Amino acid sequence: MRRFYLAGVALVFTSGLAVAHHGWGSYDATGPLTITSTIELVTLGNPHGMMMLAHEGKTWEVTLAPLSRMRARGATAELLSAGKQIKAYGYPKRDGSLEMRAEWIEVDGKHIELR
Amino acid sequence: MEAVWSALQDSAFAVFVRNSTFLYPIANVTHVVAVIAFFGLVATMDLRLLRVFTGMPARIVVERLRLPALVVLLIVAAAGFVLFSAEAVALARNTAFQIKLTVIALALVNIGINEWNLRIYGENNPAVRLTAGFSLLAWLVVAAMGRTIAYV
Repeated sequence: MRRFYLAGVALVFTSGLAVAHHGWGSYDATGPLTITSTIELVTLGNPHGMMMLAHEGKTWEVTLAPLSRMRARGATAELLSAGKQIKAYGYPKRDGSLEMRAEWIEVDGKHIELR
Repeated sequence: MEAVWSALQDSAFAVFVRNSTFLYPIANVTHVVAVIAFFGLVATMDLRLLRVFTGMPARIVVERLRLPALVVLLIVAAAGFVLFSAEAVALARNTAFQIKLTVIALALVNIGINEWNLRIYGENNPAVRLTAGFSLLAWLVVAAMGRTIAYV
């Protein structure tokens, strides 16, 4: 219940900050996905960053946090750059498109929570 | 039209907005807070025109609040433009955004009709009350559609 509540609060705040095309609600939290791959492309920016990762023969778009939060948690452009090994844990989009919203990422031994 | 949004999104200004840790959040907060201030002013005028409360003549209430409301609306629009520029192409395609802009256009025309009727026929006029009621509803729909953009 508390987790559910926190998810709700996070949804309100993240979507408020990011006038993105989606809140957390459009992602399936019951089917989390972990992708360990090489960053093909990454952009850090508003309303939120994103990166492309190859996973099981397909390229996934991984939705990241708004720029100010990425900076605050140490996820700089130097840390997240194309060619780097990364582990990303998140939830795939409910509509089945190759997009997931990252709950956390691990790169260069750093664990970064994005919610 | 898509070319215009694409050009805007790729402009130096939009790149700056996307890469700024302060401008985008400031625009976001300003947009929402100014919307609240705007609706407060709108509701005061409309509720007086609808005679939900009485006292000061409605014409005077509108005379005092119309201009401040339009100034606040300009702030809302300016902040909204900053947000829009960051992802113009996706937003222009967004159904909620399209509905929102359509209703804004209707609400602006409605202000003109309201003002015109108020000037010609005075405050005790059905057209004045009808447009006041439409105004309340329309601006709430605009706010609701604005919030819906992130979920469609």
